[in-house]
Amino acid sequence: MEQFLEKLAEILEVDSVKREDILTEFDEWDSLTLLSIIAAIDSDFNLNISAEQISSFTTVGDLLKYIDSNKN
Amino acid sequence: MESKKTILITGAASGIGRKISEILSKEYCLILSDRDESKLKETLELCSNKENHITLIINLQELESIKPKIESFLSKNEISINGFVHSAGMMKIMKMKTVGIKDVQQIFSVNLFSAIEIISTLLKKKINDSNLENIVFISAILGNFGATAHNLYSSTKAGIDGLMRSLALELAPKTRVNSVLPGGVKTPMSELAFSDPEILAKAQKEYPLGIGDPIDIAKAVEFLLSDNARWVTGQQFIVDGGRSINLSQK
Ligand SMILES: NC(=O)c1ccc[n+]([C@@H]2O[C@H](COP(=O)([O-])OP(=O)(O)OC[C@H]3O[C@@H](n4cnc5c(N)ncnc54)[C@H](OP(=O)(O)O)[C@@H]3O)[C@@H](O)[C@H]2O)c1
Repeated sequence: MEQFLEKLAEILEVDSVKREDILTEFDEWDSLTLLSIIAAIDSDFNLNISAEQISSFTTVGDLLKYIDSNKN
Repeated sequence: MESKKTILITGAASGIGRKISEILSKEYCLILSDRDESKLKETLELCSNKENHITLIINLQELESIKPKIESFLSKNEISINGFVHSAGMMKIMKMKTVGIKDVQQIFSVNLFSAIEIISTLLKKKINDSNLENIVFISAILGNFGATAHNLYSSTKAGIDGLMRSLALELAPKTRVNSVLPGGVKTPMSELAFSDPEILAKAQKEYPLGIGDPIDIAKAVEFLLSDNARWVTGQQFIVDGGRSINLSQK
């Protein structure tokens, strides 16, 4: 998960991300960033997640919790 | 598996590959290949002449396992392969600056490198007895054009069509090699995009014949494998409901 947080920071172009960060408040947050995150989750956890699902999460932590309980 | 020809289909567990399997099962003996056994069994249930077909589980990301798996599978079942349809594929939509080597390896392995490895294996006399006569790749119109953040996907499809043309020359006259280039077809792969009402509405406008169904692609594959296409090789067969010629402004 630590590694994934680093990747998330890279995608969002920030130094680091914290669990309590609000997804939509990142400057880089747009539909393509969302798709890039979907691709990263697929690469790292072999998990298909929809844009709709991600949009339903408020914080980075919500996203991590979802990955944790659904990854293969 | 009497005198019917044998076709290997990758990606047979889902979407276009599943429909190709269903259609071809009437005329051919099939080797249904994918990475998920239970989904492959579901495909087998949809096929005609079920007793003529067998399944082969391969994870195409594991390139090094492909040749030994095919080799032992063919010798164990005492069969050889006459036709190969590569429908397995994955899509990654991501900004170029977020692309990492792992993404590149995954998508190129599944969409392109695995096909190279399979064909190279099937051309070996000792393994397949010089029986490969027909190859069809499921490419995509995106390989000829472009779309934001489809960098890797487009490259793999352009790559497979380059391979297709060169192989058509190298393997003629014994083996014909062609690609089918679908536009947007309703399958699990496109579900994500088409579940967005905005994208769906835009697509419905841009596709003169509407969005495609897997059967539209399966029928094109059936034609290319048949003797009706005996003078066709090295071609991109675009099956996209008119999408790629549509420059209409409204
Ligand atoms: N649908 C479209 O709109 C469209 C348009 C143009 C071109 N195409 C092309 O058509 C082909 C079929 O796509 P589709 O729409 O039928 O998609 P799909 O329903 O997702 O089917 C693709 C199949 O390939 C399998 N696959 C993926 N990675 C694999 C791996 N590592 N090893 C073995 N099998 C693997 C998938 O298994 P998992 O489900 O386990 O991943 C799935 O069963 C693809 O080459 C695609 O690029 C589709």
